Amino acid sequence: MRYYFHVRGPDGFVEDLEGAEFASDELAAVEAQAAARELMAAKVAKGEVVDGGQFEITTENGKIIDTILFKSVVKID
Amino acid sequence: MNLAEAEFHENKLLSVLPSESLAQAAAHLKYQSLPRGTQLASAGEPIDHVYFLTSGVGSVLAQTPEGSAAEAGIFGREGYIPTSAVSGSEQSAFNVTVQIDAAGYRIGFEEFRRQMESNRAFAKVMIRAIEAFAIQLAYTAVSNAVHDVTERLARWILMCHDRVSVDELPLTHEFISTMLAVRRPSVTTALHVLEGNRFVIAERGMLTIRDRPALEEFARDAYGKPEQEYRRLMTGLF
Repeated sequence: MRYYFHVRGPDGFVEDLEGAEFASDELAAVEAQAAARELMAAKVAKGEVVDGGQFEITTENGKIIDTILFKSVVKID
Repeated sequence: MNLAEAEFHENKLLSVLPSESLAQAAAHLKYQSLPRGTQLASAGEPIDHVYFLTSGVGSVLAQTPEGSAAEAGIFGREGYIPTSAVSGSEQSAFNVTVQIDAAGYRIGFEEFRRQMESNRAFAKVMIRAIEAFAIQLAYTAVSNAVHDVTERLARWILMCHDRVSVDELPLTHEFISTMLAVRRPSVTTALHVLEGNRFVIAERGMLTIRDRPALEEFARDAYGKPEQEYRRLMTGLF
């Protein structure tokens, strides 16, 4: 199945034009979490505001199956 | 020569060879079209041929024992590949793959070795080329360590653009993410930044350069040094 990781945040909407194949909704969500950690790490390194962004994981027909808040993947304690 | 074939001089290394040196090698050079995905060498496998591209882009991928891979370097009409051939070692250390449809001349590994021994000017150019490639790899290592993803992406787009004659680069985000060793959404968001600055247009599977000077300015510190070194190495050789 092809999944799209659109980004919605304070700076607007970034459409994922290409998507990627995953065997299940769960595996797509796991990858989105890993990607969110990477995006957050880059923001932290640059001293940017890290609140507000999220992935909207959608299927090919546009159905949102999950949203991953970027800040939900950061472990503070 | 078949009209459809590129001229030897379309490869920069062949173009700097003195004519008698090129003539010696030319008899063994065979033109070949190399579509995207063509594997030019495989890690741990013998090197069959050495390639001098006249168009297109290929990449050298380094892979860890557990299967993580990242691009070590890219090459096109400015170089030859696999560079390991210059050492006389028959085994490739890396996977070398065509990433943007290419064409070029190939020479058998044994014949390449003979040219290295008997054709001094040829050997000189090949050794200069490996130095130039080593410089590129060193700057990629620096860039990976000190520049952010958007700057690295800008650098990488400029490097690809240097090697093709058009402004449209058929590249997927998935592929770029392997090249930059980041996850795909990091490429998508970095491209969004470059697009927002009107440097590029990112469409599905296609990246169009819109304002190269501005992209260079954006990449600043991340781009230009290896290119400058290359020009130095390839000037005034003979």
